[in-house]
Amino acid sequence: MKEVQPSRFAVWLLRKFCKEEHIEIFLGDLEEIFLQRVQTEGLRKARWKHLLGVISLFRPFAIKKVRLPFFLNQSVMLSTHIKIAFRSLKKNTFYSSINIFGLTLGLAACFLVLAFTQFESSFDQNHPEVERLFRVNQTNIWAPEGGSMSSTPPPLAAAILKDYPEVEDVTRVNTPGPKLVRHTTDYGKLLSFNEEDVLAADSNFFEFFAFPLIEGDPQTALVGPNKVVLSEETARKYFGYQDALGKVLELGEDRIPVEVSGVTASQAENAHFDFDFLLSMPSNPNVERMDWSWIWTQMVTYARLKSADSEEELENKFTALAGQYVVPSLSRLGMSFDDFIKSKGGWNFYLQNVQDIHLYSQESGNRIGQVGNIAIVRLLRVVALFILLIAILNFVNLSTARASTRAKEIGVKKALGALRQSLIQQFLVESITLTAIATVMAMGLVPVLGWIIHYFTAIEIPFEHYLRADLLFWLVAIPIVVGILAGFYPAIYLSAFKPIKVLKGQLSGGMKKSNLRNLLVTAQFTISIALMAGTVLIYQQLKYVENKNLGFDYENVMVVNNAEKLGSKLESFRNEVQQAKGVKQAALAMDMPGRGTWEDFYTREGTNTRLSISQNKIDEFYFQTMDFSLVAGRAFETGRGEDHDGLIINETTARLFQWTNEEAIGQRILYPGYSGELRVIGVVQDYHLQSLRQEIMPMMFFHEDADIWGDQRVVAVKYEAQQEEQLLSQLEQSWDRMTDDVPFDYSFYTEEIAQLYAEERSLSGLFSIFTGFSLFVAIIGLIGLLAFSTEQRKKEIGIRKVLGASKLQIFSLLNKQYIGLFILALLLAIPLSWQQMQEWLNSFAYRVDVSIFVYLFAGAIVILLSIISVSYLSLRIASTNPAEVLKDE
Amino acid sequence: MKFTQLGEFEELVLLTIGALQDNAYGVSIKNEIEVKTERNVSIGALHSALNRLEKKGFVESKIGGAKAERGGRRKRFYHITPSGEKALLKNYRLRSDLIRMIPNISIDRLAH
Repeated sequence: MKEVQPSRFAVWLLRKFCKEEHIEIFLGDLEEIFLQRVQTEGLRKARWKHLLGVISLFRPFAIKKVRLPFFLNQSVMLSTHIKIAFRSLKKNTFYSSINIFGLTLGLAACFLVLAFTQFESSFDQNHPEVERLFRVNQTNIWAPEGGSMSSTPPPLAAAILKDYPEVEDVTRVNTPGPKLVRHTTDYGKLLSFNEEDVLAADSNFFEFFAFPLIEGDPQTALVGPNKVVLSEETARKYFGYQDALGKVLELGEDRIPVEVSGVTASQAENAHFDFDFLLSMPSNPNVERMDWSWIWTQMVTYARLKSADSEEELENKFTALAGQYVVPSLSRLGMSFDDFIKSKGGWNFYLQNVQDIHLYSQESGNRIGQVGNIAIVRLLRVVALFILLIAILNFVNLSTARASTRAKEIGVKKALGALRQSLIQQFLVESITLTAIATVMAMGLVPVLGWIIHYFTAIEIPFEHYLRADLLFWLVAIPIVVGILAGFYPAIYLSAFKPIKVLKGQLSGGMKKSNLRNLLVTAQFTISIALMAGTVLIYQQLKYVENKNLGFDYENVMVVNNAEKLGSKLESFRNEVQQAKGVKQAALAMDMPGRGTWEDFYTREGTNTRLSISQNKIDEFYFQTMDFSLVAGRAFETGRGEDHDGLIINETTARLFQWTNEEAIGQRILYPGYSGELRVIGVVQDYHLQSLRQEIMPMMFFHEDADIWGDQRVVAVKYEAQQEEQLLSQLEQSWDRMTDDVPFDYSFYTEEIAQLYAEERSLSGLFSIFTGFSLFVAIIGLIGLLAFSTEQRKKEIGIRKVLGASKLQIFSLLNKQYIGLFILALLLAIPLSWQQMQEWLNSFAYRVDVSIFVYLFAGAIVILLSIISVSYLSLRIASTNPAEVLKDE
Repeated sequence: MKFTQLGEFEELVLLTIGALQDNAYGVSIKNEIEVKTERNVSIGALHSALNRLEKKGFVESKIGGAKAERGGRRKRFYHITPSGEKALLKNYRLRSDLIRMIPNISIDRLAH
């Protein structure tokens, strides 16, 4: 459930600018209005208007007084320097604004990334003794190729606590899955919600994790069965502003009464998990039933060690666990340990510090929450620094190119006795002043950019972490550091002029050092082209992934969830849906492809090839609804009793059992405890259950009447396009008639499929935005340079025109000098970024290739955009009347 | 004391504070004005007016009344001072004097 709260950014903004005495009143008023609006206008609109409200409070009477940093009035010389800096800024508005604007964008990108990085690396810092707190991971026994996972079996915790003195204490978190929760309020109103975010935990949970309670006692809250700790939002949802403690909620279909034993304070966003419902462990009876099993991996196990140093030592000792516990547990299931781990290289357990879970769990994942990605954090850091670098190079280029305009000033100063040191100081003060203006502007720009990024990529950059340290410190430190970086070379260069020469006018303008400038321009465009190539490649891969045939047709499929709540009326609900207008076909299944899967072990008859196969249960209409392609055999058919023990396997399963697709038909597959004889009746073409990062896994379909665990939980509805709304209301009516206050929950399957590629999509958006920045900054720098060099060559061009040069010739003369640099940049960009791009692609099982075409395309975009941007300038110069520029001599 | 003018919006706010009596604070004033005038009032404009009124000495305020629906934050309650009342009455008299001078005008016409 989404949190009903105004946007954090708005609150942060108000706190920043508003006078202390008004903050509480203003925030209070705003929040009250916000809550009214949530009721009438919805959360999105209310949030937006709340932000507008904050902005409307930018009034003189409410804004804090700004105090200037102390050193600004210390030195007389400094104040002169600043005065001159501002005068020169004003005199050259065009060039100054190019510099300021470039630096603003570069700094804003850095601030954004800094905020993002700070947030991403702030996860799980607040748990007590967190440096000694570890998660226990293990070999991923469910994947054919092994690897690691964060899910572990129930008896692991007790075993390591008993066997290893290094372990101080252990706790476990379990995932009982979504629950339907009912509550009758004091006014007799029945509330019912399907709660998604449900966990169960051992009673010592609160000694391990920082979830402060505003109601209830953490010592006892999770002791004994049928206790639950709620999040604050959930407690409000059911009980309003009354105390929740001691109240009773009804859980699940059996309406088991559960007592609220605690309410957490608002939960931190930077923890690797959160919850709405935290049940006591005995409330999930499965855990006790399975407490002998080492393959029921439905727990997350945490251990607090006596000393963090014993991590490695302990991991080595963990190798004994497999022989001691796993082997006996497997033999109870009639399985042989050696068969089981043959392809996985061992059954091992590992420790991972809880602080590392968020960023370093690409492989092991996180059973109970989202994970971040350290690769993206690193990539963003590099990209942001590149943008800043481009902006700094702009500054260097423009200042040295325009040196001649300052030559007289420098000559006069030197002649009057100014030391070189003092001149260097003056130029540094200029660049620092410029950067200071850019810094302030960047701070203002950050929220805007953050909003743009959120809009296009759904990545939320949390602003309360944004430059947490003293704002004033950053406002002083950044201009000094970046200003010196940008101003150092120009200051040395300018202050070296010989007074006699420059006063005699012998310095022939700033074009002398144009080799260096060409080098810097090349560097800028190398970066831009490399970033652009990255963008093109990510985009290509995204398109490839989206257009790759998934193996079934997911367009226009609607899914009604929680279908098992219909109980005996399930079949009649399906029939009713089938009859509804606009429905092509409706079918029942245990779950939809791509959602979490359920796996178990199966053996081919006559061999000991044992496979972990994910399974689904479907009715006779499912294949038609989802339009799966069969490569051999047939699908389930109505009225054929023998189909109840039939199986439809995918090509991968057939291959791993060493059958051809045709051979597979009629073969037996063994499953311990199954009453009938399971026979393959069909082979379905391989399709992608997970994102294309993963190889296709073995899977199969059971008939819905097969003697195997699992309810039919979804109704898949294939409908005629454009019928959604009307159809939904029909479905909801039937649903409400047939169920007992169960909320109607549906989803569009296309959206779920799109979700599989959400990460690539975000990355592509983020990369495009940052590439756009870098290119923009590089291009405005180019415009500045070109503007200046054409200004210098005005007369030359005038004479050329008089002598008969055409507009086109002039135009190409002006642009020619850069084309060579662009091509050089393109050639440099290829070796510099090829490797990185290939590495990124390697994380996909199905991928496009890096090709020279990517670079050519990226290079073409960059060059075209640059030429178009400077063409106005070139055209204007090319079409000046030569009389205008030549007349004064 | 120099003559202090009462702006149109300020007058509206001042009247509303009077009408709300003991329950005049930011949100209630805003809601009341919006209901009565059917126009939107931004919270910034309102607080800015309240601030001016307080500076001119037409209202006084005190802090109190924390409520959960405001995230536990307190409110600033406003009430009219005698000089505020005087300013209101002065404006009222000015208007009614002038209105009486317009021939053939009656409040009943508003009914349609």
